Amino acid sequence: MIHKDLIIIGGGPSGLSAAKTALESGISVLILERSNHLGGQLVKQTHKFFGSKEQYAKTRGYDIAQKLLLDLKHFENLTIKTESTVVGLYSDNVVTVLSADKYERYQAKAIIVAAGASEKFLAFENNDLPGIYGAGAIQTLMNLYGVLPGKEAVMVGSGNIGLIVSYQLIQAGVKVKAIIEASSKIGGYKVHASKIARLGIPILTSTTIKKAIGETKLESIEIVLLDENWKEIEGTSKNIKVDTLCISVGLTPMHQLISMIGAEMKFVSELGGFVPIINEHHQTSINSVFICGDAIGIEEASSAMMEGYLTGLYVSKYLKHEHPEYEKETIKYEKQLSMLRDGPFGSKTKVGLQKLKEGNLHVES
Amino acid sequence: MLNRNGVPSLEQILSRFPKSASLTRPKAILECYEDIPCNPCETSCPFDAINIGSNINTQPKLDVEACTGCGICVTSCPGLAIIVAQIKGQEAIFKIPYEFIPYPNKDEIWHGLNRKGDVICDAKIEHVSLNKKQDHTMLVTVSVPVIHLHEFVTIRSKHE
Amino acid sequence: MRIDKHPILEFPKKNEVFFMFEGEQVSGYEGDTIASALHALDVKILSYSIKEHRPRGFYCAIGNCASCKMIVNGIPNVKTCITPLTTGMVVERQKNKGVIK
Repeated sequence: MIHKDLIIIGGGPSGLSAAKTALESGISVLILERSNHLGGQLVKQTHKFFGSKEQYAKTRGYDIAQKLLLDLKHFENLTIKTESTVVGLYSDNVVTVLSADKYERYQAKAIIVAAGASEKFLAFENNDLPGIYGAGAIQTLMNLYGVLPGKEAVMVGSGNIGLIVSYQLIQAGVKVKAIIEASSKIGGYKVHASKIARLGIPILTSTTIKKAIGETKLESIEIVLLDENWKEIEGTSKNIKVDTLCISVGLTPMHQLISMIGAEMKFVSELGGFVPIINEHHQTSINSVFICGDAIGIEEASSAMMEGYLTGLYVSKYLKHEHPEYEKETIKYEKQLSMLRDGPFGSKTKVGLQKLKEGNLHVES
Repeated sequence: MLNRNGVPSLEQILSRFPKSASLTRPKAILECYEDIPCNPCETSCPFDAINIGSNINTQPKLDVEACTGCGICVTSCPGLAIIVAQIKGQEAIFKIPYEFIPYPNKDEIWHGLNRKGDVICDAKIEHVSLNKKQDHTMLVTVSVPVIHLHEFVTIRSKHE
Repeated sequence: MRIDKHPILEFPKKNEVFFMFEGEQVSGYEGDTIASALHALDVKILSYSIKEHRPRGFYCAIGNCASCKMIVNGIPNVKTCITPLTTGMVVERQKNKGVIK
């Protein structure tokens, strides 16, 4: 069995950021990433990011991924294994991994779960027809593999992902016929919505999808209006001919490994689903297991990066190998994270984190 | 309504336009109507004409006097929410961000669109620029009849 | 169908990778996953549900949903959306639960 100081599960923005501050502290780090690339969702994000300079504002997502990797280049204590899926997390800090048909075991003094999130699904008739995709999948298909999902699309969901991916569909040459949103308001940033509106794409609020129609693949959809109680309004059904339907109805944290190890969990809808109870150092109820990024609550990549830097710092303290500039760096990133959450879009996360604190427990280092 | 369909009201749009007398020179129109954590417009402006401050959720404000209408903020804004406007006699000259292909070329006539995506006029492409710093966001200078000063926002090719 | 030109991204020509799909020789490109190569060939049905045999296709692209499981080189339950395409792969649709031989 291979031993490390720190194992980071997940090589996306929060995992890579955590690795940086941990490595700066002199800790040996192993990053385990199930896909064949590092950078998580960033590698297929073709839009320019928000935030401030420290979060690489106005830089396109795929370039941010490159910058995060560059930051790790000169560290010697770093091992990275891609195409390595963590299949088990055990209470003696053992991580079991499936990699190239081999089953491997690693043990560490501390573990950071940076496994991100998975897309939620939507229940409607025939929702399993080929031609129906998660919005993230559409991005992967178009931006990573250069494959067109179809010719005519409808997007379900007007959060940031729904709005951004609709724009990216148009950039790829797909006709977007509408964005439908069950609530009465657009969920994402209004600047994203305005970018879409000026292209003549209708954003239909208080609308949901009733069913998908097609024999062996999607041919059209039936949409219907909803009243203030989320109930269908009779007689408002409409059909739209499409070969591509994108479902963008939110993300939910990947809680599986943390649940497996028996950390105390709580369902917090503001954070996206099941999350472990953590203290202010992102430490779960299992002393040696920490968590950051979307796995502890759905936010933006900018927050994931800040959380990653902080969790790497907190782990350095836990391992009694404190970062040489612990105070300064912690204050810096905590301040930035707080600022990212200060606007109206951050209030949901703040409420969620508060709820998590209320199910709190004191953890000994 | 902005919250329902992404289209700002005329009142909102006018609140971002400097008075017409100032538009003899090109000026940035900052159509950022929501508090979101973002400040590359402020940090990109070489003339310190955009102010957000230490809380980056604050909506940007333009120092009209300092703004030269250079358009750097137009291609820096991740939300593509900034355009530059100028009045030149019977024409309004705009600098807009553009991220689709085929790209417009100088002297072509394209459709001019309003914020709802309706075609409202012809738009003449006066100039295009795409340099490395713009990072794939083309800056297109177009002229439209001045009557559309508060309506026009983007272009669409006449060839589908 | 593949994207030819894109305003932000470049898709340089890559080497063709030949493989077998349902007995026919087809091709994808270096860097494809099995599922992305099939999608580019307009193959929308990747598998069938176990009980009702409903057609299933590309859904999550990240290995979470299991909609894309196919038999690859005789091995069932391969998540084709995250499996890189290699030369000579034999890919077939899986119609029932995988069998451990």
